[in-house]
Amino acid sequence: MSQDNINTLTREMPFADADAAYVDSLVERATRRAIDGAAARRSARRRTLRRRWAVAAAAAAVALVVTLAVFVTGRNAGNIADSGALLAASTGADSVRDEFGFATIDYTADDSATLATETAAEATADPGPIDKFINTLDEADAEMLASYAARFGDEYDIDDNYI
Amino acid sequence: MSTTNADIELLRQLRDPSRRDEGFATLMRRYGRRLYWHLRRIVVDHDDAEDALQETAIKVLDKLDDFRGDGDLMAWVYSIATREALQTLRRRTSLFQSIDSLSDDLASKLPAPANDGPDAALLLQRALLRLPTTQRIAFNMRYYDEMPYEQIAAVTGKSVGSLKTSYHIAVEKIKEYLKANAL
Repeated sequence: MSQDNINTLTREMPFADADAAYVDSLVERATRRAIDGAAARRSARRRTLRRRWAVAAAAAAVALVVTLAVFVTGRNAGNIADSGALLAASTGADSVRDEFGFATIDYTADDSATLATETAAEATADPGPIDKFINTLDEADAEMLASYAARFGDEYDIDDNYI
Repeated sequence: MSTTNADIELLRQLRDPSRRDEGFATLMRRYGRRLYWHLRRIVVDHDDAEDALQETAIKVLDKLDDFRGDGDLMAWVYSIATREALQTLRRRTSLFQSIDSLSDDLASKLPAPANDGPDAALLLQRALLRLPTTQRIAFNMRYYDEMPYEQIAAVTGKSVGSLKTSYHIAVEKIKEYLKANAL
């Protein structure tokens, strides 16, 4: 190659595998794929968001159900334990069975003693405002019953004569 | 270089979700061919250039909301394409290997010279592949795409002064190679 040839450098690229029409078709294909891909990605993002919302809602629902179940079960268990303790304490049995003979709760004498201690502690504890109010009503009730008994005798049935 | 009036109208289309796809197709028709050759000159291999073009198109469409309206749309698209091309080259390197060391590998992808010896365009490509990659990219944008230095600066993030120096050095090296290899 002579110096003259070097001076005839052009901006053409020495690649025969990519003429203008071919490159245009590549560009067209890349454009279409990008647009289709973007639509698919937008759709996928929407699906992901919907899935996340569904999972979050399901988790919240499960958490609510579990909380309610724990609350209700705890209350029932407490009630069963208390009633079981009372029955066991009165009968001296170690466990309480229902009317069909199924064991409702295992209860021991130790539990009885614990419940007795707790009950005694509650009795001596300073009552809260609601308990105080109930106590006041109970006292008023007792006074009223005592006054009725004094006026009409012990046989007077307050329910029959309640107006 | 500021955004042209045609680009402003195009941007308006691209920012409107209902006309975005149409606008993107217009953008690719306007710049797609130049983008392909910009990529091809960097990665040399046709398949790599096609892959990089596809990735560039996807990223441009995805990142349109990030483009500042007062910027140069073409420079922004070129900067994405350049990053994709460099990423393609990096994939060919091993750990701790510079992409500048790929020059022999890239030169092997150039077409074989004709029987009567390499033509000037092919010789120029061989000379270019001996340049550091960033210098080569800057030279390509100036020489082949005839981009103003300000626009090349917007693409590469380098100052106009350093680009002018880089171009001058590149031209000197190319001349030296062409003279040494002229048959």
